[in-house]
Amino acid sequence: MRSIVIGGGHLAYFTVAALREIDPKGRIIIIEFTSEKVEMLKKTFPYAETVFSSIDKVEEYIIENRSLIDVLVSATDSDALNLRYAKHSIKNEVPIVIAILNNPLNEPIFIKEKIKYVINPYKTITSKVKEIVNKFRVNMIYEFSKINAGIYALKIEDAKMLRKVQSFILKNDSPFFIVSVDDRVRAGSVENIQVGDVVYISCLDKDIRSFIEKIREGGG
Amino acid sequence: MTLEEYSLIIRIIFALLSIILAIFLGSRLREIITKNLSKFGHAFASKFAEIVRYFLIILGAVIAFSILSLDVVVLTGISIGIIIIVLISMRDVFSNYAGEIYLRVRRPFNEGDFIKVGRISGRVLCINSQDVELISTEGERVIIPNQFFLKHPIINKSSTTPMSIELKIIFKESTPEESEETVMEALNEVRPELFEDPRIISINKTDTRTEVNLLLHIVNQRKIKWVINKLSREFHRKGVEIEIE
Repeated sequence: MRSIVIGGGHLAYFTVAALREIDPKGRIIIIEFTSEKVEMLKKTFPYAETVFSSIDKVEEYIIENRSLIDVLVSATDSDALNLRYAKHSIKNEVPIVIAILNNPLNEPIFIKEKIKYVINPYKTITSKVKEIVNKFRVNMIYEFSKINAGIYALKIEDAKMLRKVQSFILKNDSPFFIVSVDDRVRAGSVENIQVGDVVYISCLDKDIRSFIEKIREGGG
Repeated sequence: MTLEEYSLIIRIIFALLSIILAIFLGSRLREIITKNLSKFGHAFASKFAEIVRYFLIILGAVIAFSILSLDVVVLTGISIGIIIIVLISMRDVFSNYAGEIYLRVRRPFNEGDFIKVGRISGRVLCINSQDVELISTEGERVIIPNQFFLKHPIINKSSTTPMSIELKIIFKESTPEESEETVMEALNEVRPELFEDPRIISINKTDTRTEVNLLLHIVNQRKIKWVINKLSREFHRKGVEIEIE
């Protein structure tokens, strides 16, 4: 698989490592704009090819190689450039185009521009803080990129919430497991859920959204 | 004022009212439809709502004419005639719109998915009002009218991305062992461009030739030609005479 990573910063570092893990025999080409970084990248990633390019020549490179590029990851330190390269790659029918955000507040702009795969590395901060401090009602643990679904943590604060969560699981037939108040993991049926537990559930986005609406309306 | 004049004024008022009511209902219905169908795409919802609105306005106009007691039979005949002519002359356009409704509501595939419809395979570039644009496995841009999707079964292969390709390589003068070794050497040259390791499915020996069936996995379908050419060059470089199917 031929993967192109644009940018040579820390975003690119994790991307290249992941691509190498996915396809150890594949080609990874890193495009960088500064010669010093290119030299450093050659040493850090001896298995990858590095291309020294000016910012405005990247589009030409994409056009020339568009029939061979399988994955393009736009991971520069500038969201404006990431958006520009991602849009250009989609226009040139690169099959998988991924943009990595520097500023999470720019995510709506990428979505509006129809960039299908946008990675927001900061997205886990909110859920991690909620999980560690253990203060939440519904916590989004993981959001899938290819399907509109995720893994959510639902905290059973009282009997009312317990009933709602039980009925939600039964209605949607969602897979789940339970974490007790003493952090022990339990599996079991919906009847085993108790007040104080946290229920980790995998379901569709639309289902969890309607559930959140219901608990807001009910004040539960 | 005579009774006839009085009756005419009443009829004109009612006719105007029916047109106003149709316009009002059309506008209200447009808002409701746009709001409720926006999940299928804003452009599609607006277009559908606009069609319903015009339909209601035309209906209001026909009712107005009938209230005015113009010859209803003649009016109805003319209206039906116009509608039939419009439907016949624009049947493909309407059929494509029906196809779009099917694609938006049923969602058999999305942009970016790899599909097969009829004999055509490719990745979906965009879904339009009248057609769907694909990039075929040969790298050509194919425009398929939406009505085509109403008449042919659709296979959505997006879940199996990357796509799998079967190649048959025929060696004219070679033993199965030699063929396998040559194929593996040539495949090593193209492996970095493939998604995962290619696989030899079978090797069949006939009287004069050896057939090697291969399975390759490719993400970018426009790469297929390049891979085949590269393999051919590799075999040619090794001095092996082959055919690729």
